[in-house]
Amino acid sequence: MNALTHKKRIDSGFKKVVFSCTTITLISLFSIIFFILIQAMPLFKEVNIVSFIFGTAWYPLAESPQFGIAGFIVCSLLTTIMAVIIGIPIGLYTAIYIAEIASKKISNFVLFVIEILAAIPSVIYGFFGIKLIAPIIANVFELSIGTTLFTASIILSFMVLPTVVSLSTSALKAVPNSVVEGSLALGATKIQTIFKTKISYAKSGILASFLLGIGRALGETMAVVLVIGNSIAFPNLTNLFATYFSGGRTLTTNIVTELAYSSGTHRAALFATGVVLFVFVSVLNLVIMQVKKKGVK
Amino acid sequence: MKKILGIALCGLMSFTLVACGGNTESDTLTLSVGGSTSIQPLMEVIGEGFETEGFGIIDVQGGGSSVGTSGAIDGTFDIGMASRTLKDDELVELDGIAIAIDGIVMIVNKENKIKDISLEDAKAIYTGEITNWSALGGADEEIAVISREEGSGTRDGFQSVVGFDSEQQITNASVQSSTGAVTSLVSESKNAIGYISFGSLSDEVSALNVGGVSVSTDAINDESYQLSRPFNLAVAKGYDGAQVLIDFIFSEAGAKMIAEQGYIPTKLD
Repeated sequence: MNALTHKKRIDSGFKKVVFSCTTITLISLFSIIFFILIQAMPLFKEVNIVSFIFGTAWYPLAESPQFGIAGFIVCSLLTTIMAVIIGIPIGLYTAIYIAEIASKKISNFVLFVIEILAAIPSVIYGFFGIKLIAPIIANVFELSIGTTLFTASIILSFMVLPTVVSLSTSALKAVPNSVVEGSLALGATKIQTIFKTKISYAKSGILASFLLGIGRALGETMAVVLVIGNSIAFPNLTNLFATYFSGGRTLTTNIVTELAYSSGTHRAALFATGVVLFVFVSVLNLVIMQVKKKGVK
Repeated sequence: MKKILGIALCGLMSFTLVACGGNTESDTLTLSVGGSTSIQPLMEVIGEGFETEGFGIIDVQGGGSSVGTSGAIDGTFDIGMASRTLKDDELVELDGIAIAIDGIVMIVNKENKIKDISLEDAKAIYTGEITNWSALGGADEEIAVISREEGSGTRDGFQSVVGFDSEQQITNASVQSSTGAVTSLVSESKNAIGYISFGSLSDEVSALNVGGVSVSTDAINDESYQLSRPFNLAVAKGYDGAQVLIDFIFSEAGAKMIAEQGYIPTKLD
């Protein structure tokens, strides 16, 4: 009897510990959201939200200041899309190699390397980009300067690799053997089985890995700020090729470039940029949850 | 274990008591200084020296030159900092005291053959009228313009001396948020041009002469080198509560601190 109440006490005590930790997690998120919103508020006393989001001019300190972040939103999307176009095929094929083709020894080694890739601080990626990738881009494409949207996209594609590879690998490895054997028994080759059966079986997991990679690219700051140029020019949407090979500014780099010396409405506008980014990331995460739910069904 | 904890706690408590006692009896001079973010780092260094010498405490805030002058007028600050010449309407209520001169250097890649630039050409480059080095007698290459971020004191100083507004600056100019980033980008890109504070000039890049005058402490001092601006302190007329600090800045120790930060100390007229 005594032992039982003692056990119950431990049980309920542990429940309390777990519950308070969860509360701390939730509080940290909500207090950050609250803080960003409060900081961003002063902007909307002076600028309406439509001209903030759709405005194309950014002159925060002019006599009649202009706070338009449309160009930064477009640059965020352009770099993310290009990073995904480059990074996802490489990541997915690496995952197929690890999960299906490589020997256990090699696949463990590759996974280890991928883990290290994920652990490199983003500022190192940026430094690598500015010292190595940017000069190469400038030389190959005969540009006057190598800090471009394309350079940023390449760096971002490196950075989404770990997410895509490790999550896609687990999704592929989770495909039941019976499915694979069924496919092989019907006369499909190994490659046919991988592409037609396994990938389609694991598609929600793979898709989730892509979306998480997109989230990584969208939110990345320190690596991008060093290689993208941060110019305020509105991207030329009729000539995307030229746009990718010129500089630009994303939502994240707008914040980090100007935060240090900002004050008043200017600072509020930078926090408001953070709010917009937060909305993008939240929508993306809702989509990821839906995709995962579908996978469970 | 408990014993050690007890001793530690006692120690902590007595320390707190001592600290409280120290605070209540203090009657040290505290001056609030605010304004230009370009002068802010310098003023913080001066403030440390001021405190070490036992004159009092300096509370340094940013906000920008105009915040500094209006703060000095309405009494928010004992001293306002302005990294520009004071305007006529400000001089009605304020005295301006130049404590240092900040030289700005235009830098290009070491491979660039251009050695000299005029302020007019600098303006033409930053406003996008000149986009190719050949217009200045250099190689037929597009100029990669590098600037600083909005709010940077160096940008503010550069724009005010060269004579253009943020809206006029070429929109595809690359914007970097530190002197180090500008220097490193210019040293990596052979067609780049940027500007940094004279005190931060390194030999990774080459400094352009302005109107035939090469940058040096002497040339900035005698104003033959044009790309420079004053660091002014703004004090409300008739207010002498901050005289100790001003005397300290113009002392030998103060001048040494200013020089060590890469600026050129001025002398009282």
